[in-house]
Amino acid sequence: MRNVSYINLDDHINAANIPLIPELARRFLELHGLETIDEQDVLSIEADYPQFFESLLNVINSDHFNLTSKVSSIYQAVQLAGFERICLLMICLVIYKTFGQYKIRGLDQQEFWEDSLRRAVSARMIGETIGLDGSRCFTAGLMQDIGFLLLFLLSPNKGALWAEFRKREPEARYSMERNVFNMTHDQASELFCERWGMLDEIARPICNHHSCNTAQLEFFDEQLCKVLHCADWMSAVYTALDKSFVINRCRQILTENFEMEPYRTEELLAAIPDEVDLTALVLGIKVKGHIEFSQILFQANIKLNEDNINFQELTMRLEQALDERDRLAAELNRDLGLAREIQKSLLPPLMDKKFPIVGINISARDLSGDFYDYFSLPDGRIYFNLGDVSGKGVNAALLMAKTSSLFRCLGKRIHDPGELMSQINIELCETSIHGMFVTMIAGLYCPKSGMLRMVNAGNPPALLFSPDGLARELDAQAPPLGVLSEAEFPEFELDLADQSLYMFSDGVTEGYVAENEMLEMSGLFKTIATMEAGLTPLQRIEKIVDRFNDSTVPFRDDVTLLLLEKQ
Amino acid sequence: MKYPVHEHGKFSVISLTGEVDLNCSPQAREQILKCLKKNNHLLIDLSAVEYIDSSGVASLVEGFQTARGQQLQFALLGVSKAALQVLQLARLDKVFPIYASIDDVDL
Repeated sequence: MRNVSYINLDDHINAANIPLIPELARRFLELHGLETIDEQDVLSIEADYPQFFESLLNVINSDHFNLTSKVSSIYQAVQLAGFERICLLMICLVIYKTFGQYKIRGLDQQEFWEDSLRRAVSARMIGETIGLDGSRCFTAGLMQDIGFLLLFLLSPNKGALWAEFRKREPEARYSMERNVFNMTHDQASELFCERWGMLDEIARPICNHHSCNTAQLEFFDEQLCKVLHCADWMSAVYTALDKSFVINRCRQILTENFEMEPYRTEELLAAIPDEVDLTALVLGIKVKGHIEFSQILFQANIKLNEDNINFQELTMRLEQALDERDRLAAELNRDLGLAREIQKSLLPPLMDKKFPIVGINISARDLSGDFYDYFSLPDGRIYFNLGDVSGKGVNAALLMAKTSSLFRCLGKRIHDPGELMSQINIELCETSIHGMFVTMIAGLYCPKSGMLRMVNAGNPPALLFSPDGLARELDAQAPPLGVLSEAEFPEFELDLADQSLYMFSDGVTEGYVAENEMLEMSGLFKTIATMEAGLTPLQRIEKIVDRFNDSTVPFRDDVTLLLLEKQ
Repeated sequence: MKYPVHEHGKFSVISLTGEVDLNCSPQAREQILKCLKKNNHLLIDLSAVEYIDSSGVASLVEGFQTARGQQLQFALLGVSKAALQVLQLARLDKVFPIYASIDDVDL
């Protein structure tokens, strides 16, 4: 038997409150273990409790008990059927009569004994199928959940939970016991068996039927444990809510434990109601009603149908969700397409060949964070810019649109690139969000004089190439726009003459020309310096972009180039 | 990715590591703003940063702007070569206070 010393009783459970073993049962059990049963001892007990033993004799003489001939005394019955079998029957009746006298609010004892009878007849049927003693299996089955009744008896305030327990399958119920009582029914059974001095051969399986595989048991006890475990599930077929699950579990565990075919399991399940009725009649145990297994199967099918309907509903909802996702994706694509169109409209058109500036912008995503622009002032000077917004996606595109608009709008009245940048910077700092900033090169070019005034705010250097191939880098002299409201934007002025000014975003130097190889500044230098003569400005910046076509690495960043040279 | 934070004098020190790009910069931003919300002066250790893109720099800029608004100190520490190149290129090395090591910071 398991050691019970570790059991932690909660405030409501006191082992001392377990009902005492009735005197007649105690005296009868004392005979167990004696080498020979003395007729006088048995007669003496029988004489002291005539009413009880008369009803016991009725059971023994019933067809159900299957004795070879009728008996007129308990001693005769012991002689014919053996002491242990009679003793087990006596224990069943004593337990029923002892516990049956307690009333617990919320707990329907009739239901409890009906369930116990189902476990008992199930255990007997399985036991007989696999060659165990049916009487012993029956008694153990009847008593296997006595600890459950005991838990309620010792914590009567929890009686209202009885119905909730009954709806559950055995494992779920077991786990609920732990939560509700801080003790499980097999642990409570241990207390009971100890207090009543129960026969070890009954006590061991009762106390271990939820741990058949882990408890150290002899073969026979282990077999009986497994029988009780299966009987528990078979009984639950008639009470648990999820009948299809419990039926399937019965098929599974009976096959696992006893290699029983599923059809045989169903035969045993179908036999339970009649067996219960018969046994209840013989033992004088009242049961509530008779439910056929066919009704249970019908309910299980309803449950299966409900599950199926739920599944269909789930599928339908999933399909609806996918449709909704597709609809939103299409909507988003439409919006993105429109945004892309608007963004493209912010880029200037390609001008005629006499215009000194050409530009190109390739977006790594749907929307670009890079931009460029140029426009002529009434006096013939040309404003231009190239910018790159930090980050990517819609937020970068929106800031790009804002900065580009500010440049075009303010540029028409502020003809001073440094001042223009300063004003845009203040505006961006005032509405700064998430630390987003804009690197930008902006300049004012006079085609008549060839003079150029330019500001580089945090952008990669512009490259000034002379016709003899010499190049000069025009580094940033100011931080990006939108970082520091008081930042200054110094201009530098130069005579462009017949030089070419290449401006670009960092997507160009960080673009991949081969796997693991970026173009970098040196590559850009070389590309420009080695271009064949006679190419138009547009062809030259396209040549630079062509460098990325050999790479299988997709664009990670937007690529933007602007070329200014005298025409 | 969760970046380690430790206290040093009056400063909280956040150590950014590896590639601070579009994937990782939201976490960097979150931790920077979390420290500033507690009114802590902030040092961002960039010594183990292998790459930082503009979204990572934007997290630093936002931290810098927020700290300024709260009159808190915000500085970069031990900036790695890769990160320094990016900052220098954008002239942001002139915007952020930068210290070579914690010993140079006035605690």
